[in-house]
Amino acid sequence: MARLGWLGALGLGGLLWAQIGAAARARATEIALQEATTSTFDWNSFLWRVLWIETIAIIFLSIRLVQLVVRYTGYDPFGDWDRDKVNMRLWMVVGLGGIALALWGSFKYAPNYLPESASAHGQAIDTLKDFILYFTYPAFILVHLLLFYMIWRYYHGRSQGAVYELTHHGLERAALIAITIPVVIIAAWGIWVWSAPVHGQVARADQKTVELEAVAEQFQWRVRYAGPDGKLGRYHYKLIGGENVLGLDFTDPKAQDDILPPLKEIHLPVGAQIIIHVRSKDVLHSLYLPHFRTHIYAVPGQRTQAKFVPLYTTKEMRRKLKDPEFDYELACNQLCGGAHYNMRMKVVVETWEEYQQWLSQFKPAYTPPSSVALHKNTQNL
Amino acid sequence: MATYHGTSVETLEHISESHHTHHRESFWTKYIFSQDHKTIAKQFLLTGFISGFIGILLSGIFRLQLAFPDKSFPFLETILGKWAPEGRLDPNFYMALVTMHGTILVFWLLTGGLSGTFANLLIPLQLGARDMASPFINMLSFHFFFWGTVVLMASFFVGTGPAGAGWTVYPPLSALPQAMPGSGLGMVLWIIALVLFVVGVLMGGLNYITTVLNLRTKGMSPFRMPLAVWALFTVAVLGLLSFPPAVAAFILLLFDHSLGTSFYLSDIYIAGQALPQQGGNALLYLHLFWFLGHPEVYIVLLPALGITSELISTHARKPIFGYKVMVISILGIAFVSFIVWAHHMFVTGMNPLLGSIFTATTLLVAIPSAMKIFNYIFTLWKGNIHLNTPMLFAIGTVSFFISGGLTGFFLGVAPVDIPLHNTYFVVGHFHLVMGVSAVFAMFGGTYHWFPRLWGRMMNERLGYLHFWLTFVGANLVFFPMYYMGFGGVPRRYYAFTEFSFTSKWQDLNVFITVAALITIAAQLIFIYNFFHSMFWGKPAPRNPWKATTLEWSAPVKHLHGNWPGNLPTVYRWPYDYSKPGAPVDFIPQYISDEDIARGVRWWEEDFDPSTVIDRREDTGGEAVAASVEPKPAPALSPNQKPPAPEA
Repeated sequence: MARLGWLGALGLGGLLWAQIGAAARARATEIALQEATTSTFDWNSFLWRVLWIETIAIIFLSIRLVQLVVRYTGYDPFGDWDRDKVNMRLWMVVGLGGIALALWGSFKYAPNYLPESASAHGQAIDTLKDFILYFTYPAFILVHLLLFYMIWRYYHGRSQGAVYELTHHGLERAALIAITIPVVIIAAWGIWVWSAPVHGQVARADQKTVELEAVAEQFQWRVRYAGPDGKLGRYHYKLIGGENVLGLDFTDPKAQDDILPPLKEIHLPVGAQIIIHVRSKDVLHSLYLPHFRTHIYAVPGQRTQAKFVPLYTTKEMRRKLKDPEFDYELACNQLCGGAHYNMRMKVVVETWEEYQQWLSQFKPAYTPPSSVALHKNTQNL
Repeated sequence: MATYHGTSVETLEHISESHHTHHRESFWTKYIFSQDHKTIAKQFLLTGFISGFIGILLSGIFRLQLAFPDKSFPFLETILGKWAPEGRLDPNFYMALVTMHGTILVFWLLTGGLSGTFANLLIPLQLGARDMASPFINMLSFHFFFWGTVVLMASFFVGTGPAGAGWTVYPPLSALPQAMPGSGLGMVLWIIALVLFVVGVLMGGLNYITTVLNLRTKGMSPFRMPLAVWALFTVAVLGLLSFPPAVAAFILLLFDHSLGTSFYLSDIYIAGQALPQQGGNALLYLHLFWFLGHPEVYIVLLPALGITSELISTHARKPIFGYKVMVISILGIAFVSFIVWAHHMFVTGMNPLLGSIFTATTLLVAIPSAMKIFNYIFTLWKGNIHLNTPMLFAIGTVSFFISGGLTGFFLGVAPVDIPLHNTYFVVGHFHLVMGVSAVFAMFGGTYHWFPRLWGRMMNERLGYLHFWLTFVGANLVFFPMYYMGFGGVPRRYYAFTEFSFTSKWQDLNVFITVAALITIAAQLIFIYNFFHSMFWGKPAPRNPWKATTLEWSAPVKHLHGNWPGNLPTVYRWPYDYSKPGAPVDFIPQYISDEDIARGVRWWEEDFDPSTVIDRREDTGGEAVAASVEPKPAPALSPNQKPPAPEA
């Protein structure tokens, strides 16, 4: 009973303090409004600060108060608490509640997870991911339940004294097998799936291939499509400058027909083998296409590439997800500086005809300069 | 008077004099330039905790930004000045906060603070040595660490701000001052701080290894060493093998940064200018860095698991389950940690074949780790679990290790890592498995060994309050990050407002921030408890937890040299809890079967272990000490080794 009294007193004190705080805040706002024009002293933030400091002080003073009362009166409001029992019960409440909360959250936020993979290899990745999830989630729950059971069953208040047991070979062996089997399965499956996106699926004979280049710089992406010849031309970073933002080497005929759409958009045809050559002009970036389960770094001085087959057009995906606003997005996912969070590009997947039509509206980036200038440019190499 | 077998009388008197009387000690020699491993442990603990608290406060600031990207907080301008104009955090300074948070917590709190404290405290005391092998180098180790801290903290005050390229400081971002403000002077200071730090770690590590190999007391065979010492010893070896490549990487980075070399730079066009550097590659840095970076994870984790072993066994009053399996697991994790580093680089464009190999090696880590978890749980099984503060934190460590470790299955598999790489899934994973879990072990160790360090007990009830708030809070902060990871939300984003797949998560980010701020505030309870108990806590008995290991046989009051007389001799392994036939549920390592037969009552409050230890003719530690050359200046270390007898 006495304990309840203490808790009640503390609670009442807290309520009172909250009331005083609210009143002070109201007063502060009032003063601030009144004096906004006349006074330069910022009463509002001053009183806020005082409130914060005093709140912290009150918490510590109440802890100290309890300590002092215990010391000088010998009366201890929590003296009859059974430490082990209280903590054991807290483990049960927090532990079981925590597992329930984790599960609830997993379902509540499921609509926000990345939708079904929009690329062929991504679906294999997702199957493996789901398998790992169906192994780790039950393991997470079961091992925790085992831990909580030990606490519940063998805490000081219920234990009949510890048993001097050094090891148990059967148990150790069982544990070893229990962990080795999933490790072997997941590793083997993982390596098998890895070989697909990396070494690339063999394109069907009738499958079209689209090569393009994505170039990262602080803080935007630029895209270059191979022109009618289907080949991307040479470049050199020392040629960058002026109009030639990607440093294309126009002495290479393959570069002369390349197309640089001046938009923050990438268009891809559905069902085709997409090969994105990735490079960076300045620092590390990464080409992150979450919906296509595609991710590769952009490394200055090195060309990397991503290869995938988009399965659904943007329109189909919007219908699938019942979200008319949906868009595929390209993000940078390797810290590249202050505006790293803002390196966005919209990705549009459409039919082959729509794609061709879209691409045809752009002219090649190359405008023949005087031959002297061209010569001068290549000499810098 | 101690009797040193085979030692000349003069030496003997000199040693015992320096043990019993305090020769002139000024404030400086006692607290600053101390060569006593116990004081150095306190120095590491305080420096680690203070910098760790600063690091955690930084996370409070950037969590505010993530939860309320459009809101202005005038107090930020008050404390940060130009980095938060009109109360809006500058994106470059956001990166600096993230970088410093990571650097401070990984290196300063969980490497320097954790290993530095407990290796210094436990290795000599649990092995029955008078001090470290070289107390002087031990002192230097702390001083390098301390000056590293000063340089790192100083970088907050340079005009361009502290380093901002992430705690991994990947070039070219970190090597080019024109790439971001943080890559200016702040980056140079970061490298200097890290090099000082590593020098400190290496000096410490050499000492820990030498001490464990040479200065174990008599009877302390390797398989009688407590698991904490096994872990700390292994970690010292790990550090010695993995930090030097990182220093090389940092120095080369400094060359690229300041001297125009091109180890990591090639083909760069930045700020309207094509740089002359050609032929380097940033991936070289990534390999060098992660060659440290991955063992570093275990440098953080293994001491935590070692400490947890001690706490769980002691407070469950039961021998640790499968001691040898635990030792093999520690060594196995340490070995495997050297061949997994490239799993941080699955999508960097390295040779894809490596992806397959590193997937296989990475998943191997799961086996010893899982064995450790099972053994912790089996230790609790049929135990007598005292749920006091150290035990709560130890169980918390195990729980976090489970929640964080299992998600390693996703990230360790190369194809599944493709969409998860650098997302919040990674942030949740490593914070749980090696961040919070190691911090909890460090808290648990602090509550457990506080009486050994300061001779006073910490307040238990404040400990419970601290534990429950932190345990619940940390779970609420980091578990939801897994959900965000499945949503593909990238880490190190200043705001999630720009992409439609990230902006869905705004409500959860507010929730995480509120939970984080409450958890940070809960640490004030610990700080209060820590400093209050240091001066006004209940005086501790010699062996408050009724533990078996040697550190509790030394007097509460610190002596230079640890034991007033002989070094204890060890007769049993460290986990003789609840042994059938014993009069009480623990038998300290220095109690022999004859002592038990003789009726020694070691469990009584006023029992003085030196009555047992000094009774013997044979002095522990001498078998190994005899092989060590006597030092010319014994006044520096009147400790572990009575000089060999004059022939």
